[in-house]
Amino acid sequence: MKSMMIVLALGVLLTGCANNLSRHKIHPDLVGQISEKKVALNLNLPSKHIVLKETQYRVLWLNYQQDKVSYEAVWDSDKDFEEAYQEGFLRMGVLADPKVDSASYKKAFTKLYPSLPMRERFCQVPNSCGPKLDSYSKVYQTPEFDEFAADLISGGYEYLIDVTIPEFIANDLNLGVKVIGSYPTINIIKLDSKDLISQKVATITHRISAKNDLEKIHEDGMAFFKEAVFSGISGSFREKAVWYGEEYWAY
Amino acid sequence: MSSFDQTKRIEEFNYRIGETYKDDVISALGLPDTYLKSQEKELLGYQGKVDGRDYFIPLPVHIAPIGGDMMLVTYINLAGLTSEEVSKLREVDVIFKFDQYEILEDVIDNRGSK
Repeated sequence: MKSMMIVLALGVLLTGCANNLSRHKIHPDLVGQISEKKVALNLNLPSKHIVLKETQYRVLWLNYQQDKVSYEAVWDSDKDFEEAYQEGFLRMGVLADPKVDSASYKKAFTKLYPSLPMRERFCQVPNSCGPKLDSYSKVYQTPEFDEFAADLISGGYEYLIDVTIPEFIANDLNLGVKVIGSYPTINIIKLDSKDLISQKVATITHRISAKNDLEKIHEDGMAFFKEAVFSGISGSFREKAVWYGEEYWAY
Repeated sequence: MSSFDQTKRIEEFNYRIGETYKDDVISALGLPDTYLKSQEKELLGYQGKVDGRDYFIPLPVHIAPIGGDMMLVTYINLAGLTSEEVSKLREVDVIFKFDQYEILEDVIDNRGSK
């Protein structure tokens, strides 16, 4: 048996996941602290998959059916995600530079990713909530990260914003409600000391039109999926939630 | 049968080695379950059947206010698949292999061996 958490509010019911973020709040001065500094941005996309999920209500229980598909075959997504997060941080007043050579670190992260313990306790779809927050310390102790950090420091960078986007969930609740979302973790690291000064789960959640068929998610260059994802990322920066770890739903 | 089930679409899909493009396969079958790419080739793996069928029978065990009008209700699920069970269900039925020009080079059909 596994425990699950459902909030009666619609939002969490749609996403099927809740996060305890209060202990990860950061000091409001952090924005000011890093906005004047040279900041690098790195995105990790260790599993470029979408979990397609269909829920059918049966009064006393719910039937789920799910399949996991790869979007990598049709979408070279890294640059698009980098631009979306760069824009989001720019709106916060932080110029985060994604043009850094992180290939070796990304490769090491992707290799290490399957062995990291996953946040499954409140996660409706196994593995889709990403790694447990404290497991990132293991990632930041790898030689590849040391090398990456040293390169950044020699390039004049003082902080690294390290974003990890796990699998996406596309959920059809069969009541005309369809939601696309994910649970990216945003870690901010002070490079000279390698201190993790902030850690957030900045949820991406966006409700899509009921007429969009998840079975046809590949059509038109994945247009409705991309629109939902980037609206969700934009929403994750709203109200500075990305800094304070507040949950929100961008419908 | 779930709309995500590709079994019938795989059966009905007519492909031609040397003629079928990657886009043709994706248009007909949707996104692959697995994907691998190197400089010389791309592999698209299709599983056919969905990963898992699951059900959730809620037994409320705790209720707590979380602000506003929202209440947090914790349930124990009396049913369900574990992540290990879900991963065991993932097997690829058909692998389409494309060359560097995204033209179909080979098809590995595992359906008969299951």
